[in-house]
Amino acid sequence: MRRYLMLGAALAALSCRTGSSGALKAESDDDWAKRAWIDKAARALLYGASAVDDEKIEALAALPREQVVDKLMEDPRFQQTALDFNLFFLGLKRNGLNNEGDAAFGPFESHAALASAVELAHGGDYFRLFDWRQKDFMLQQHGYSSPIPGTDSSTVSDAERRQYWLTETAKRLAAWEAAIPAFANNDELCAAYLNLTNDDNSFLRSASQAGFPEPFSQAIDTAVEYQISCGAVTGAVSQSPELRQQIAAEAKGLETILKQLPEIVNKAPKGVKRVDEIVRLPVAEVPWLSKNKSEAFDISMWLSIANSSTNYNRRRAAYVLRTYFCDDLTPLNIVAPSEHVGNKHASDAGCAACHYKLDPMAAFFRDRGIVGLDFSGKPQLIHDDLLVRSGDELKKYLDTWKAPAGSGRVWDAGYVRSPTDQSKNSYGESIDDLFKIVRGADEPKLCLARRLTEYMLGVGQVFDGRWVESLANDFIAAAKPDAPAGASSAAFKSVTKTLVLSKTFSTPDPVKGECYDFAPGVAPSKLPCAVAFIVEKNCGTTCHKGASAAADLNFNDPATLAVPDNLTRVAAVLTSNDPDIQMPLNRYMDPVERASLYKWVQTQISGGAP
Amino acid sequence: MRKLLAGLLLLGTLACRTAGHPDDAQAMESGLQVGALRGFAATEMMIKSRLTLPNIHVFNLAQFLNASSGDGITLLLGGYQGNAGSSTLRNATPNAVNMMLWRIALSGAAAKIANQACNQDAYGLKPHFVTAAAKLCTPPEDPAVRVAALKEIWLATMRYDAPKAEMDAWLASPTTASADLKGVLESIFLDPYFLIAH
Repeated sequence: MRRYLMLGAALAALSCRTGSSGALKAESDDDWAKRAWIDKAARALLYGASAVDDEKIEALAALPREQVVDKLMEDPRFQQTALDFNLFFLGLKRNGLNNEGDAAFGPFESHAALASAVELAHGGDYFRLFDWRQKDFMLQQHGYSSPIPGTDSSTVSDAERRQYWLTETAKRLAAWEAAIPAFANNDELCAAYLNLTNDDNSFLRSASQAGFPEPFSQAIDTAVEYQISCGAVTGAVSQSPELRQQIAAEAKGLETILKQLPEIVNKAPKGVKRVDEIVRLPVAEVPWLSKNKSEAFDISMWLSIANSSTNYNRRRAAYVLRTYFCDDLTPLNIVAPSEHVGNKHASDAGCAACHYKLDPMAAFFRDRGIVGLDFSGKPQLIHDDLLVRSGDELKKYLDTWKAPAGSGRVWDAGYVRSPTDQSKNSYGESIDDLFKIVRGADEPKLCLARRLTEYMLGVGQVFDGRWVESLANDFIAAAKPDAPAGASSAAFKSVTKTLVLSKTFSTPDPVKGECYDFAPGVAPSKLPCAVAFIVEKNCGTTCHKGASAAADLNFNDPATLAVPDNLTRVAAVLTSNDPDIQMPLNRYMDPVERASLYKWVQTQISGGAP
Repeated sequence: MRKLLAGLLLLGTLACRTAGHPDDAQAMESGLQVGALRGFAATEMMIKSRLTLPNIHVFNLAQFLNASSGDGITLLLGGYQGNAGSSTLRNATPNAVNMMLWRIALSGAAAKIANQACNQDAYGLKPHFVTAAAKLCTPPEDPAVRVAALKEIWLATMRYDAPKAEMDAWLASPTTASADLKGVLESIFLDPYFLIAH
């Protein structure tokens, strides 16, 4: 007891000032809160590192918060945060960019994430994040080149060893290509193809001995294994000359990559072995491999969103809708179009709730087969489940997405906002068209703002919709054709800064159901924060306001949404497929907003958290 | 929720409740979840960046679980899988299994750091932390010296993530009063303000 009293006295005798080290000082609660905010801001902006030095935090504590954010964003580690956010946005976030043993090459697999982060680092086009055509990055040679057979490795330089194995790889690849026509049948070809990874004479073995950067050799490896599998080479396909042509064409592609490699590998700056270091390089030193010849999805991405022979690219479509449009495909009944295509699953009213947007999106991927290989114009298509379609079967498969007669387009491929009002929709034909839509539409910018808010301020936290929309306006303005160069990068930094300076960010342990930030110049609504903006925008400005509100549902009165019977009615009219009942009546409502409001209503009905 | 989590962690007992945050389905949309664990990578980074020198390997949290950083077991402590689904921080809700694993990992880290500070020339540790930690290697006679050292250790480790009241309560705790350096570090690591995102 006495000891505790002495400790207590010692504690009372000490102020917040530290001892002789003088490392950290906080004179008051405000001082403490400021330093807590600085640490949190540093973690948010410097990729998780609590790396504000003891002396630096005191210097920062003397500055206004706006300047603190500016200082932190000048730190090169902010680029890692940007890269990490990009991966988060694309659904590819990993445990770290820096951790030992982690998939340090993971971000390499997303050309879009990396290109966008590099652009941001140099004040360029951050919206490369939305592009389909991307550049490849190539790191410095990752592995050690194996000794040249018959030589003393101590007398041969690394560059000479590398060149030897590059040459050897090219020779073996050429030999294998030359042997393709000689195989008796495709079964033998298939077997030889698969041996490319194991045989000492294989060109892949020599590629690995050249110490090619890991992602490249993995990409080749996977491409080879999945390009053709012995399981697919059966029956009529076994003798197909087209298959041999296809394999030969793929080999030519590998040849091209091999020719480019020496220039890139030899030029890559020393010491850059991790992809997160790329974003810190001067523009001239960034090791581009190709000029916009790659695609946003690399092999691992295609594997993650594989297309079986039965799912008709819907998995790929769902990924695009969820990632770029923040549409999680909540199944709500819709007012079906008057035209139906008979006997089709997607034309059933209940099923159409998702399929009216899923199927047109899926149409963009109609020519992509196994691991995303492009089979357009080819006589067959191989799916990820190795089913091979050709002839009439292939035609029937592709016809799934033919546009109806009189529609003015060949393919029913597009981002469909409304099943009844075609003018709301954006159509195209190819994946390039799809990503032009992504680039140009407002919804991806709103989704970007929403995800950045979640990334910075936390999941499950409720945000005022009008406030998030005000953040998105920066991105929308930056996407306009007349926006100045670098506007998207400036917008990213501006929105990030706003988020770090927000009340939500500064509030310790914020209440999940409470909004702390609102759009400038707009008074907080009295309605529940989670849906206030949606309700006011779609319901409460015209019909459902005031004493004479339609159906006695006055949404200006917050008590209206607290009545269970009212909630049930709202849920019913939101999801009705009767055009005379579905709300808002005869007006377009953004499907994501409709889904958000519906989910909130259902949560209230079931007594869940606000 | 915070009080419940504080109870779980501070008492250091294994809860019997299974995983099941009611908002899991909605919360699993993206990023860090307020009120949930920061996750393996973020927590390890916090410890390393606050207590160890950059570019010097002192430890990996995973080693105390007899694993490597990229092993699946670390996902049980909260991690991302990087699939083209959604960027979901998995296993971020405290439950009996992951809290047991956290205790093992953080206890190991505390022991390692304490041993390094007291017995191995403090290699790889930040100087201001070592100065404070050294005062606890041999228990000081003067309680005021001990309290001052505890405060510096708290500020070096927790920094300002917890309110001042939390630090004061910790300083006044009988457990803190009698703990060795390893115990002191362990109690900070297992504090909800350290482990939980807020």
